[in-house]
Amino acid sequence: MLFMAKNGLTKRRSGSVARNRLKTVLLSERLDCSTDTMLMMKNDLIRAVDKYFSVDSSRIQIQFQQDPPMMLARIPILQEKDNRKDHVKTV
Amino acid sequence: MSEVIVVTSGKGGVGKTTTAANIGTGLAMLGHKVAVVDTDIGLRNLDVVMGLENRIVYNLVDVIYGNCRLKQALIRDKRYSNLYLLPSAQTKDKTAVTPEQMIKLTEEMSNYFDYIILDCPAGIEQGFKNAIAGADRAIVVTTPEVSAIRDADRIIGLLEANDISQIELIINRIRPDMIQKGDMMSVDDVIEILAINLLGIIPDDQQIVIATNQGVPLSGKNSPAEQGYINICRRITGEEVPFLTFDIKKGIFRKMTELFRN
Repeated sequence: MLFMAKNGLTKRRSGSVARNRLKTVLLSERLDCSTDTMLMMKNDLIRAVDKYFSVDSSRIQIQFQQDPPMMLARIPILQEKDNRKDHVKTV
Repeated sequence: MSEVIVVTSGKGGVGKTTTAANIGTGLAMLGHKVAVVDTDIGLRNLDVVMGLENRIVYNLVDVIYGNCRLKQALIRDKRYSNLYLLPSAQTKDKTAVTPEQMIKLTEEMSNYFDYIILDCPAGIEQGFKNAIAGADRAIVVTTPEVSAIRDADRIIGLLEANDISQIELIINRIRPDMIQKGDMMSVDDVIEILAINLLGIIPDDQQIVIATNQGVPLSGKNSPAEQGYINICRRITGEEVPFLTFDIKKGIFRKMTELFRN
């Protein structure tokens, strides 16, 4: 616990850095899809939805899940006419 | 019933040959009739790890080309009369053999042995394809490092694509002290990333270097790594054996707090 207080809060240990780097790299390899391609796809998605709704591009989240492989996109839609709370549509 | 098991990893230097030698020896210790086969043509290695390098007359390529009979090429182990090595050729290269020829060889060997352990070369080229061709089952060896795990993931994909349904993982050279500090991926991390069944864990252990220097796998010191290999052998035969746990040297403070907590 002492150790946590000293290091855990200030800096991530190298073991978890390795784990996260591996997860990203293996995911893009398994899908045969580079990180650039993922970015392009994200932009295309936003553009497609933006044709029909006005999209809050600052709060878009795209996540990739490993097992089962799945892409989750949270694209918040702005409703300008009535100032109710935003609806969040999951694609 | 005979089983052909390929030991593979993708990346070199993670301990495939050591694992093949120790598993072969361990299964022989348990009383099974075992052959270990060095399929790394051109880079012979398993013979020195087993300590049988002085006895080689014929090799795998000689058997496949019909220069000798299988029994002439097999070398009996020094300590276990039910353990044999089929050494690889030093003069030829990987293209000397085809997957079909390997399937034929392993089928012939199945008549004589309970377990046939194939030591696979590093990489994913011809030598790998030859080694996995005749296998019923695969053991993927990795270490808790990003490069080894990435290659292991590729290998698992290729094994699945080649219809090898039983694929299991050995995590080699674990450093419990580093895992505890958070500076090494844990066993759970590696399993989560690779998503395959764990066959065993082998701690980093000087005794393995010593045994390899002497050419005597599992020399009976019962060190942590040797215990790990014996457990793996028992699991291969279908026994349920709990995984190793590691006692990390604890500081006086940690010992005291645990004492009070209990």
